[in-house]
Amino acid sequence: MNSVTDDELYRRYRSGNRRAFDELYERFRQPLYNYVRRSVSADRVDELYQDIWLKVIATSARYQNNGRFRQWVFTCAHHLIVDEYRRSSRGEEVPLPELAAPTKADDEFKSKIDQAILRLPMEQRQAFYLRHELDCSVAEIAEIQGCATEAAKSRLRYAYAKLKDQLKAELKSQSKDNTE
Amino acid sequence: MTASQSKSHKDRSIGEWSEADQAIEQEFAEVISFVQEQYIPESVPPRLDKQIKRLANGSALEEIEKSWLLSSGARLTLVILLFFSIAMLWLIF
Repeated sequence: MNSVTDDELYRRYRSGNRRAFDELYERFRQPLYNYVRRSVSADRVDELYQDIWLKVIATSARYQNNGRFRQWVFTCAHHLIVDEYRRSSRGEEVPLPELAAPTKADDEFKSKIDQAILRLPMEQRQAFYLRHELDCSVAEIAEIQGCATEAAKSRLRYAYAKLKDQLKAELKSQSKDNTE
Repeated sequence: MTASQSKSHKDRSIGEWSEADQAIEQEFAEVISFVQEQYIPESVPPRLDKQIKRLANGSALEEIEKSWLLSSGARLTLVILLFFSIAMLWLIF
């Protein structure tokens, strides 16, 4: 079933094939969950993740089977996340996403990298995850975020540049600790 | 995310990317591979998986029921027409 496109699976699901949805869900669950997990606060992740799938299920008639299923799913996700942030601008607090504390000493460095990603502004962070999780091109990121290609490109570049600086600083402080 | 999990999404060849994409990949190659190695994916809670699949199946079931109603309506019309034709033929002959 791996060779079947996302669009074909979605079409089959709409005509009543439950297995098609399971396969489609399996393809998107992990990247979508990571995307949401790193976009909103921990207590809102599950609800928002479910809302995205509900939107995908309930608005199936709106999808035009144009071979851009993943863009459509992540556009739905993007809109719901933006709504979440808009609520914060109306006075409701939307805390930044936080990750679990590292359990092993080895994970500490990984955790620092994750924290550095989380500190990126929302649009840059999302551009980063779209690239990282799905290998989205700049054009696809622009489509999902509803912005110009140039804007998507600079969001991605800024995200990588900031991470590069952060990594350099971390590695520098680590080597300093080792020499002391 | 493991390589196998992401395989279906990461089947794009670099040739499909625009020049801008390739330039970014080259400029930040070190950061990209470093983050790829260090990245800790979050796992989806199993109860959430079950809940969404249940919702999806419920929705699919509704659609089937709707189409079943339509098709049974069509079948009913066909049966009435058939009876009507038989009755007409019996009256004539």
